[in-house]
This record gives sequence, structure tokens and C-alpha cells, in this order.
Amino acid sequence: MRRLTLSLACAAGIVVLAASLGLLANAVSGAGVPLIAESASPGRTIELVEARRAHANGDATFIDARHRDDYRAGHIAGSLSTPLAERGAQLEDLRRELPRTRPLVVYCEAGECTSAMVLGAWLSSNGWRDVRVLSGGYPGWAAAGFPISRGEGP
Amino acid sequence: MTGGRGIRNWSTDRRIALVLRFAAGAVLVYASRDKLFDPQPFADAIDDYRVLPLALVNLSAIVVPWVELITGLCLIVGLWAPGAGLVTAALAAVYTGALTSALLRGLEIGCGCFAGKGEAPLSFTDLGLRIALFAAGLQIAAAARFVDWPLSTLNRSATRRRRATPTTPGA
Repeated sequence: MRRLTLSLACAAGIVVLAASLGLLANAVSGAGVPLIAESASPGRTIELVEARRAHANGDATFIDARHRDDYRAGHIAGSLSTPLAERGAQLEDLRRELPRTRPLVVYCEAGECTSAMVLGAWLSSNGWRDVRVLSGGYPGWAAAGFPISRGEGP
Repeated sequence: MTGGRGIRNWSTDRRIALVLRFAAGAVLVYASRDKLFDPQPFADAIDDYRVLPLALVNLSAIVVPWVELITGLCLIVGLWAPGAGLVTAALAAVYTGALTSALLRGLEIGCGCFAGKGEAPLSFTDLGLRIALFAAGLQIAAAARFVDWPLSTLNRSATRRRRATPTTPGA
């Protein structure tokens, strides 16, 4: 019993010492982080006009959830192709290219299409904090005359 | 009866504790090295598990690597080793729970065990290592001395063996 009490006291000492050093190192390190992380955005959809503004300012990355053939035929300029079925294989590439704090706008063939909803939820569950689905999808964007591209590349 | 006595002997054997102290200590120090002064990638890795509220993610990413480092050093130098063994077991229990939960949910995320980012997706090997670390921590907590510099256990064992060996006349 005495051994257990002494062990617990030592364990508490180690944790207190480590926590103090950790907080000190975080305060003096150039790569320190705030003690409380910023909240994720509660929004789930983004309207066309707001999305266009984010697109023009480079404030968000657009992700195309449709099939690759649809992407080749026409997509939002600068968007990345991540077909829903290939999302698992692309996770590491997305992690490398997109910081978790980068706002993402996901779209597909219609305003409420399932693939954008599912891909958006999957991106959120994998750590991206600001993921929204584009209202109106690609047809709405193209019909508004906003920038589009064709072919393999963004 | 013999099996039970064997397990009891194993769980309190100081030579086994010595080996486990070095092994677990090295794993913990190695695990902490990339996270100490750059907690953001580790915070992202913790957040990927979706088990902690966001308010606790950064604080965990700041404190846990230092707990790993101090615990690992205590195990290697043999200072407060039973306490360090308890901390090792507690850390490993938390990691085991988080990994199991993520594997059951089919999350395609990195382990976050040895570096905050760029790791392969988590696997049952990661889980096995955490379970082994948990067992090692408990053994150390049960068997190690509170102040036991690395070679003193071996020195004591060697001295005991020399005393027990009958000396040959004329030798």
C-alpha cells in the first residue's frame, strides 16, 4: 500500500513537471499554439455569391466530388478533383496539400447532391475544420457565368 | 500453482523490469522528439481521432509529449521508476482506447504516435505496441526500485551470484 501511494506521488510529480515544461516550451517556441484551439465553422453550406467571393480572393479551396469524366468536361476553375469513390486513396495527398485550417468548398452536380454532402462530412471527420457544400453545385456556378475550366488539371 | 508462481515471479523480477525500463523509456523519448517544440501537427493528429473536445486538443498536444519525455528519461536513468511505470501504463491505456475506437470506426487517419504528421494510416501493429507498452508499464510499477541507476540491478545480481557460488579450495 505504501509502495502504491509513493508510486502515485511520483507519477503526479512527473506529470506536473512535464506540464510545466510543456507550457513553458510552448510559450517560448516560435511554433507554439494557442491553449484553446479555434472552433470549427458551424456552417454546412455556402451560397454562390459568397463562394464566388472566396474563389476570387483565394480564401478557399474548391473540391469537385463528381466522377472524373464530369470533371474533365467542365469544373470550377482551380478546383481539385476528388471523386467520392476515390477519397480514401487521396487522403494522404489532400493532407499534404491542404492545411486543416484551410476552408474547403465541396460541390457536385446539383445543390443538394449526396456525393458533395458525403465527401464534406468525410473531410470534416478527417480533421478539416471549415468544410461547406456549394449551394447550386456546378450547374449553378456555370449558369452564373463564374470561372470554369476544362480538362484534367485544375 | 506453478504457472501462477511463474507469473508472480515475472511480474516482480527486477532484471525484467530493467530491460523493460530501457525499452519503454527509449520508445517514449523517441515518440516525443518531433512534438516537443512544434505541437500543431500533433494537435491535428489528436483532433483526427474525434474523441477529445476541441478545447482540450491543443492543451493535450502541448503537455503529452513532455510527459512522454520526462517519463522516458525517468525510466532510463532509474529515478522514480515505479511512478514512471504507472504513467507509462496510463498513457498506453489512453492510446489503446483511442486507437481501438478509431479502428472500430474505420477512420483513415495517421496514428500520431511518433510524429504529428506524415505517418502511415494506423494499424493493428500500432495497437499491439501500445498494449505491450501498457504491460511493460505495469511490470515496471510492480518491480522496479524508486531509485535504481541503470547498472545497479545487474551489479546486485552479479554480487549475489558470486556469494552463492561455493569457492574451490586452493583457488
